[in-house]
Amino acid sequence: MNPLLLSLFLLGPGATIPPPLGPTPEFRLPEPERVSLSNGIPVLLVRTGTIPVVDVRLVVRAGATSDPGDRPGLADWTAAMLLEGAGGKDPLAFAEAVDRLGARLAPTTDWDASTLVLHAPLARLEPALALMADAALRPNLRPEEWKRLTERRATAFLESRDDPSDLAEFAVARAVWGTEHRYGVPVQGSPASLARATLGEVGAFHRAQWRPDRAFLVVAGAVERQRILPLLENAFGGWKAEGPAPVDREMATAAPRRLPRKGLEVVLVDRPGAAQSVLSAAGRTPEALRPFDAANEVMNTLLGGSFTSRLNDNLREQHGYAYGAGSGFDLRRHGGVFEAGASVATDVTAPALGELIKELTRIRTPASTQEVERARTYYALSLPQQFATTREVAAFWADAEVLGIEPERVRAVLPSALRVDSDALAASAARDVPLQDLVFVVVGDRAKVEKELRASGLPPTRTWTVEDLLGPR
Amino acid sequence: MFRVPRLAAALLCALPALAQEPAPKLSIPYEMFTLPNGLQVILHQDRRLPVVAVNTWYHVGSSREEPGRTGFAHLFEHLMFEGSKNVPEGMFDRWLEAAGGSNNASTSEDRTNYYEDAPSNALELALFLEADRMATLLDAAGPDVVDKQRDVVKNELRQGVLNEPYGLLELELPKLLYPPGHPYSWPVIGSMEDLSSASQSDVQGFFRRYYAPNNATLVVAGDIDLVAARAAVTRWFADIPAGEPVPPLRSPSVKLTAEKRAVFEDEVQLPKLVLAWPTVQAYHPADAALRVLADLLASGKASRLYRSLVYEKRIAQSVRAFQDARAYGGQFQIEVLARPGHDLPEILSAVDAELARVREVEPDAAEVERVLNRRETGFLDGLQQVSDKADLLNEYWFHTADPDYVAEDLARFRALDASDLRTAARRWLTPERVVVSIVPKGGQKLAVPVLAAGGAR
Repeated sequence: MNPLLLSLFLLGPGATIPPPLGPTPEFRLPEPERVSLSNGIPVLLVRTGTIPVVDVRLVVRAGATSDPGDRPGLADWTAAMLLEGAGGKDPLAFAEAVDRLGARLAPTTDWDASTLVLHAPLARLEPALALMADAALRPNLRPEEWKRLTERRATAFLESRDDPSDLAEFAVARAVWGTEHRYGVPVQGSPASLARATLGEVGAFHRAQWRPDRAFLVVAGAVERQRILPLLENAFGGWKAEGPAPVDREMATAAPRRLPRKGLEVVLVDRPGAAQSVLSAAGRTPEALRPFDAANEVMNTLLGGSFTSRLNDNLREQHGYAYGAGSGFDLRRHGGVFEAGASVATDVTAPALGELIKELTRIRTPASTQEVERARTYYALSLPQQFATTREVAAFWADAEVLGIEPERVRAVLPSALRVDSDALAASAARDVPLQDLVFVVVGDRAKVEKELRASGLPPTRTWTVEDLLGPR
Repeated sequence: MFRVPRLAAALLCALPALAQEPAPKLSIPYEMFTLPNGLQVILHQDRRLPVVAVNTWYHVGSSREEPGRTGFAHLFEHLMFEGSKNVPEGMFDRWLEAAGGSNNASTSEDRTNYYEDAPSNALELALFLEADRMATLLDAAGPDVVDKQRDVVKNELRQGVLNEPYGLLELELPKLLYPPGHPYSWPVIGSMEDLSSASQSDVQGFFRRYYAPNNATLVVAGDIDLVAARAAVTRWFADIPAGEPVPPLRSPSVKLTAEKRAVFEDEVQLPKLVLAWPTVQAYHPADAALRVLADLLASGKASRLYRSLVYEKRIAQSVRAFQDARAYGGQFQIEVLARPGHDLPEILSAVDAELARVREVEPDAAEVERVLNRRETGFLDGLQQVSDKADLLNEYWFHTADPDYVAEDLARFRALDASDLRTAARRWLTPERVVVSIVPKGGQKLAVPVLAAGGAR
């Protein structure tokens, strides 16, 4: 059959293209029920799924921002040390015990929290929780394991020297926050800080910060409250706080007042021989911006938060400069970072940077009705996909709790997002994308890209080497 | 094939307490039918979230590529999103996102899968988009579209391989492990040169040959009404004409006769050792044993290579091992990243000591049980998400002709005992293997030296 006839046949007489959508299905956000253990530890219980696996997160409200001023990375290394032997078992025996249950137990640290993540079959939850409590409350913290951990972390910093996205992470942190601010070094710290760190500091951090009055639990899975609560009580109910709780550090996060300057801040990180340049435009977010701000979410969806976003459409689909491009807001308890970028072919570094700047500017002008409708619908209606697994559900509510986001706010963002119009979107762009304060980080081959950047009116204002970011080899 | 569907909520009994008790019963209930044009359709209902997953497998991958056109199956995958007769360029993604849906695709040696995850009210839209490109892609895929996606794919190659530490392994290992002309002897991503050569006539030929409904399987899973979904699939796909049958691939057997060594320099700080053996295809009787051997060797801190090389000797930063099984063959691979100050001959001899041990001594039952328990949780996790289940149905159908093979899949692991693992190690992890050293620039002395001609050890 010829293709024209075929497609008419396919669509049928009077068919519309594309076929119309049915009524939007109802989505009920899986929300936590709040209870607490006898010692006051809050528990967020989310009944979800039908598969007999459970995710339990033990979160302490002490992340990298709680690192001592001269020891960036300590929170992360402390969390890692909890899994290097606990409850009298050495690290390998401890790992064997977790594996034997078919469970996984891992630490994770971000700016505002340190977390132990347990994923276990429902039937083996009780012994798995006992191991989790051993790690959190009774870590061995032995010198020989600390030596092993520091060797492994020092080697990981060596690996970062080869990795363009790691280099971009270090460069963006420093370019946006400077060398004095904790945010100026990634969560995992720096080689120089690691070299000076001691096990005594790890022990002190653990004693000071891993306390029941700074902790909460999140449980997600096909599990009843009556069944899970006694198990949690058994594992964590006897945990007692000692001494006064530590005082959180002050975090100044406002954008620095910049002197008026000509041109843009372009930071070139030299990676000789690189096959691509990693581009990242980054800056501090406004103090008042919080997660699940409807206009901000829809604006970012259109700018770089979806496949059809302006950045991906421009840099990938229209120009073929990149495999993909995107943007996002990393919002923390105090402040946050906006970042947009792509990995682009070396020989188009300058024009690609030009297009990136163009889109960051254009997003402040009103978008077309179609764009706005697509972005807001995509944001609101794709949200349910984030709640498919116990891991996702537990992580979602743990992060929300740390940031002080109530379920009402998440529930409200869906209908609000569907009402965002082009004015609200443009206003969010003007407010949230810190155009005047952005730094443009380029991780690439200086010998090949610097001249071209200069010729395009985007001269590097600072040039860093790998040594500048990660110290001498 | 037809089965009475059961509700997802009823598919699992409670998991047993530790040890001795039987494994949990797993199932992905489905209905299956075949349209007259040969398109095989699998439906699965799971109404926990108001979402649907549409997952299409075309049974073509890089193994079908012609000489001088490596990377073409994957480049073609990109073209499938650039419009068809009733879907103008750019609208595939726009229409889907405007409905709250997203999509992606991936190409392997054996197959190319395309999937849409969308709110359940967008099922008709997703089916229309899939059907339109299956029927009429060539009405739209012009030379300008090919050129643009060629640039995108070249950047994918740069980002994922050329600009990635140790990324060259992906390009180099296939030709070391497989004989020239073997369909797995080139990488899925292809080469810059071959990507440059791909033309619009290649696109037409490839589409006509491999993208007919009789070479595809379509899964629709999630918040669907089974009767309505069947009607909708039939409405959109039934009139797409069948193509010529695709003959099975002829793939020569792979056997190394001696150890083969190669050394590459890369922009890296630390040397990496890679060992690879030709093994067996997916779901071969030895496949499960090889997967479990990989777990035993390198999955988690309690694994043997971690214990020996990372923990006790402190000569390695990380270890990994896996059995990569495909339709026409497989490979077992071990990768070890050295710590500063340790060279690859030292790493190799420590790995070989552990390999000798798995060949000589049966692992104890507790060790096997531990590894299997982790696998079992992995099976449960694979059933949490509708989009994962949709892909799994297609995978099981492709390899075993039984979409609901998940319980049997777990059973083939549970059936293993310690002697099976030793037998598999002896049979497959032999001295005839590929040894790749990736070392820092100018760091040849860190490598396992290349053998003199003749392959003598």
